[in-house]
Amino acid sequence: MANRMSKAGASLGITALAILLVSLGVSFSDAKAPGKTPSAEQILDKFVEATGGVAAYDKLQSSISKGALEIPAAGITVDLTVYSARPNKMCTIAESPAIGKNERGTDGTIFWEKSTMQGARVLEGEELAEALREAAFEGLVYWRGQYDSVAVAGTDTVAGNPCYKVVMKAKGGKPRTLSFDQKSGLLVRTQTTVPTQMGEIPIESFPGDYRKVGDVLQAYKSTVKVMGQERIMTMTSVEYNAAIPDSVFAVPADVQALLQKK
Amino acid sequence: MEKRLHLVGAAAIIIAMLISISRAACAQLTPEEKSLNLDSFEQVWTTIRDQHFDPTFGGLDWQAVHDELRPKMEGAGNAQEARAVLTEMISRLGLSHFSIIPADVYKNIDAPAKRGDRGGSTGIAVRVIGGAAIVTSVAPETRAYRAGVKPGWEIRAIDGEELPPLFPSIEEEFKNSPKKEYYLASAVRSRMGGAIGDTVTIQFIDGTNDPVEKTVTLEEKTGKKIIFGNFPPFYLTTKTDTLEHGIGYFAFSCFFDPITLMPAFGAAMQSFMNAPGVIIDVRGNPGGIAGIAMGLAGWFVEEKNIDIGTMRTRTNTLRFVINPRANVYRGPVAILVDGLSGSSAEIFAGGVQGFPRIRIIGSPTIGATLPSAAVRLPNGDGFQYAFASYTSRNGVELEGKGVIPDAEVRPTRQALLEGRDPAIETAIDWIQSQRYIVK
Repeated sequence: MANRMSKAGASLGITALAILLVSLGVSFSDAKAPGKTPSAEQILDKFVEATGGVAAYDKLQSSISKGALEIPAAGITVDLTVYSARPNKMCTIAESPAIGKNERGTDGTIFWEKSTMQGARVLEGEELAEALREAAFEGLVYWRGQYDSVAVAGTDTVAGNPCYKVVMKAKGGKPRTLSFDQKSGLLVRTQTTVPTQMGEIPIESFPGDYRKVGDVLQAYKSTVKVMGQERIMTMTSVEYNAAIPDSVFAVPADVQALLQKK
Repeated sequence: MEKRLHLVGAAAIIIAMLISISRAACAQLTPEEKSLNLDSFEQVWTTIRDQHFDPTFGGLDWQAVHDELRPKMEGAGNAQEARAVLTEMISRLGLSHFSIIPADVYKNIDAPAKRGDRGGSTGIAVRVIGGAAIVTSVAPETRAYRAGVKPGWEIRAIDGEELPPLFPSIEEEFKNSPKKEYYLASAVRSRMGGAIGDTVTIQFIDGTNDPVEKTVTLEEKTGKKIIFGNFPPFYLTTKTDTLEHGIGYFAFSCFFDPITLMPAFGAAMQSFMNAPGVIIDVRGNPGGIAGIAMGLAGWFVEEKNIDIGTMRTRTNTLRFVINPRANVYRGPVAILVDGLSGSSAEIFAGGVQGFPRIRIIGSPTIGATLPSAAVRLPNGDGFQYAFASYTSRNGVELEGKGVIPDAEVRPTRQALLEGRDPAIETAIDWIQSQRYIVK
């Protein structure tokens, strides 16, 4: 929820772009790094507070984020719209004249993709599990309910600023390493591997340009590195608690046709 | 020579443009331009160092390449010389899909179509058959079409330059390369190219073996103009037809503009659902977006979790997985290819080759299958680079080999003059020999 834009990237199935903040399992490690390094729990709680605090997030039921995904190496810019609602409904639409329309969504149970180029499909197995975690509205803010384990993995530097690294793992999920700015507490880098239909894809993303939207801070920009290439996601608007018709999250007819064929 | 002639696949279309813009590129450089050229040199070298899918660079000492060529770039006196250094660097890799796209090409992309721009076309498609340049098709409603130019006519000379003497050296140089057909045709096409509104005088031998001279004014290329990122423009045409015995036929000119192409292909396949067979024609198709190849295959490959090949970057291996459509065509499918089918067209044909219901017919393809991207350099030029290798579903690395058809069939002058297409005839015969029950 704190970074709706991260879910937009995943709408392009070919890259399974940055899943910056997802929601996963339970329990966590209270492990501390040596010296004055805070615990993983403290680092994550500081992030939650820095972006608005749990009370602010509790008021949010849905979001509509709009922006663009730029792929400089291809000279292409794609318009993005991300609809999201509690508990785990999501629909992302990525569209451009160059590549057509790519949609990806879930009603909370079935997760599907549909694109102008490659048609429709229904996600299964590990990819489905990861995608459903990705769709959870309660993202990193409610990390205690999402991850099996969290642990400090030392310190790091991102863009010249010292950071704490935290490794988080959900049951059945891939570990992801998150770097939080030591001073601001904000998330500034994520590193993870995303299961996709094409294979596992390592992704590194750098969220930034945090702006206040209502009572919460929202990253408006994220630079994503995928397979040696760079994508830049920039949001132009984020609207919380907007009315989203159920039809937005409904399984499309051509996906229904695939399900009936099974 | 092959290493120098690296502009294949997606970049092939710009060759004609490169030829006539060299004069402007000879102007002396300012200190700022020299600096931008050096920055471009470093960007090209670094991109390959960091992203080339083969960390051994094919056995090259990449640092040594830098150290050898950097002084040449520092000494480059004009844009053409600077571009030659960049081209020499990428040519050392000896792979397709590495090219330097002159900045002037981009100016042409942005400018309105008018005299002086590049991108003009006669609408005449050519293959070199038996040492002769033969017209294989003429785009309908073009000036050449209205002037009566016919398939099967031989092109003897263009603007007074005899063509037959050009071919032996190309034949010899590429005698063992799948790129031979491509370069032979390019030798003719480049001479017929120019700006929209330019004229080109062509001497033909017509169907009765009489000499005919036609002066043709170049026009905007046929089809929908497609601008895809930093690439030069492509032109999309599609053709849906029903041939004898009710066999479906679909042809298209490039793997771009999915918004237009995919619905057209989908509608065609829906209309062919009860046909005894389908022919998909990618002859002359230079490729484009690889994802389209997967999308097309989903219309006639029913099995789940099947891929049409594997892409390998330095760090990843990704499968080009097909998503079967809800309504899949279950009859025989013939895919027509030739020596001008490149890149995604090869991934498409080579990827589905071997399925029991699918047969590849025609002549070997270009053998240029590396996934690539194109970026702008500090000096304004474009830089196309491959970031991955590709292996077909059958485990064949098509780069440098091409797709070898199941049935090798080439056009002949006589057949073209008679209005026949031997590849289509072979496809029809094969489909007729199949006994699939199409539902």
